[in-house]
Amino acid sequence: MIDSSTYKLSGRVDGTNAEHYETEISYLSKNAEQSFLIDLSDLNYISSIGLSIFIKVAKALKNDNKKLILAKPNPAILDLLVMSGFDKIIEIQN
Amino acid sequence: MFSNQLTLAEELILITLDDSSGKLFASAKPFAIDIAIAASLIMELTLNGRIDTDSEKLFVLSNAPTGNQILDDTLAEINTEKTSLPTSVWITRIGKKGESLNQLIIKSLVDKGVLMSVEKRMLWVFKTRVYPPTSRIEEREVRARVMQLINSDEIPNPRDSLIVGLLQATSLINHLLTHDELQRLKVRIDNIVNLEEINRSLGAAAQEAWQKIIDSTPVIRIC
Repeated sequence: MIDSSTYKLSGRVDGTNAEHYETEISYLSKNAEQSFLIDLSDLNYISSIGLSIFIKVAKALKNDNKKLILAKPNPAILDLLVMSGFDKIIEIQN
Repeated sequence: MFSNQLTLAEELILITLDDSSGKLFASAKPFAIDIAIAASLIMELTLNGRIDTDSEKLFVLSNAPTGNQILDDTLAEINTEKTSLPTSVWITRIGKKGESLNQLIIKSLVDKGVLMSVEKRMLWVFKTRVYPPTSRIEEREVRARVMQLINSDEIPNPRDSLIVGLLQATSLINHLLTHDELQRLKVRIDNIVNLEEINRSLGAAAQEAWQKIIDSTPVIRIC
C-alpha cells in the first residue's frame, strides 16, 4: 500500500531527474491530511534544482494549511539545508 | 517561450531605470549591476532547466535553445567550457561584458514596447540616448511582487527569491524600502535571498568585485 503522507528520496536528485520527482511528490502530497514527510535518509546529493522541489511543495502545502517535513537527512544534506536557511521555513526532523 | 514575458534581466533593468531621467543605473553600484545582470541570465537558464548548480559547480543540463537570443548566447558560451566551473566564476566572467549585455537587454525591452528609445541633446550639442518607460506597468508589477513577498511570511517561489537576491546584490533594495523598513525586514530579506544557491554565488562575486575595487584604490597615509 502506498502511504500518501510519506515519500522516500534516494541517491541523487538533480536537474536530470528533478522533474520526475517533483511531479510524483506534488501529486502524492496533495493527498496529505496535515503534513507530508519526505524521508531523506538515503539521499546522498541534491542540487539547486532538486532543492527547489522542497520549496515548491512546501509552498503548495502551506497554501492548503498543511506542512512539509524533511526527515533524517545525512550530515552533509543537513548542513546544506541549514546553510540555505531551509530550516527556517520547513520543519526538519533528525 | 519568452515572447512578451519579461526575463529576470529585463525586470532588473526596469527597476534600475531612473524614470525621471530615462537613464539607467543612476542609483546603483555600476560593478554590481554588471554582475547582477550576469547572474540573472544564469538564474533564468536554471529556471528553464538548461543549467543546474550546487555549492561548488555549475553544469549544463541541456543546450536546447530557449528562444531568447541573449540567453542562448550565454548558454552556448557556458557549454563550450570543457570543465565545470563554480557559479561565481561564471557570474564574474559573463559580468565582464557589462555595457554590451546591458544594451542588448535594453534593446529587448524597447522591442517589447516596455521602454522607448529617445534621443536627447546635452548642452545643445552632445547627443545622448535615454530610455523612459512607456507605461511603468511592468516595473510596478515587479516592485509590488517584491514588496508583498518581503512583507509577508509566505514561502517564496524560486523566481521571486532570485529577483530579491538581484536587488540586494545591487543595493537597489535600499531604494525600494525606507531605512526603518530595511532594518525591520533585513532578516526576512536575508532568509529569502539565502534560499537560492545562485544568490549566494552572486553575493560572493559581488564581494570579490568590491574587494578588487578596494584593493585598487590608493591608500593615503596621514603621518
